[in-house]
Amino acid sequence: MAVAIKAKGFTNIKIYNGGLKDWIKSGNPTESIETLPEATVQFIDVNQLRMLLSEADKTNCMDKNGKPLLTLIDFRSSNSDSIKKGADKYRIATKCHTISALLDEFIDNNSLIESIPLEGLAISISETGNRDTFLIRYLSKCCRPDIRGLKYGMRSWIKAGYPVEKTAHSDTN
Amino acid sequence: MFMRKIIPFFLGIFLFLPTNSYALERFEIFTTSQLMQLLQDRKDGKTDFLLVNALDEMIYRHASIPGSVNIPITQFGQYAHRLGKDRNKLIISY
Repeated sequence: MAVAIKAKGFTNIKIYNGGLKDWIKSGNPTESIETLPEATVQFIDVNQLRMLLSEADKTNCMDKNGKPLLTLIDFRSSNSDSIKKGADKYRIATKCHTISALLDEFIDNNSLIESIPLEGLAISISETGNRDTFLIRYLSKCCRPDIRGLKYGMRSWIKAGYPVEKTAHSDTN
Repeated sequence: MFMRKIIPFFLGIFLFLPTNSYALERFEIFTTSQLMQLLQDRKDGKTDFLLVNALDEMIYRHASIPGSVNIPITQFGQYAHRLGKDRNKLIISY
């Protein structure tokens, strides 16, 4: 962020490295515009996801009634055009449907939220698994309660050496 | 022998050619207690600065350090105007 601000011509930039997490940990107050609903947030690990996807891919990710078995919600910040412009972008290789969007694109966006199937399981994918709680809590208020986060996010998938595919998005940059 | 001559040559090029080095930039880091002091000073009218929350709007709306301005890094271009026009003003981002 500091780099982007500096590029705009600002000269006196500092960083509060601890961020919101350290601020709260130190017992300091926060302010809120709209508190997210409480929800039980569950995570699955990278090996469980790999197993689920391998099974689902055998039937093109559909059950015998033609309903989706699994949907990925990839909301990594690198989906943004303003980040890593021109860099290659990769996602989990699967036949299951992947919804790609930024976290903020879900705010009051009924058509995006409704694009998450009610059938089957939905798994959220962030960079490191740190932001999934916010998405899952937000979506829990909009009747999408059965979403699990991927523990340690896309980083853990790549670290495990599991298959990725280049997204069409990267070809347009 | 050839390598002994060529390596210093290329090192020299990398050292002295002007490059866009934003990515290697080092910024001063503030601790929690420093930030608390600065926020108190701002409240008392002793100093002025902009505290920038670079997190997603959804997270900012849920919880934020009091007195922050939200400029999500994912939508920097759209919200950069919130930085204001004073290029010398102290900006602290988190």
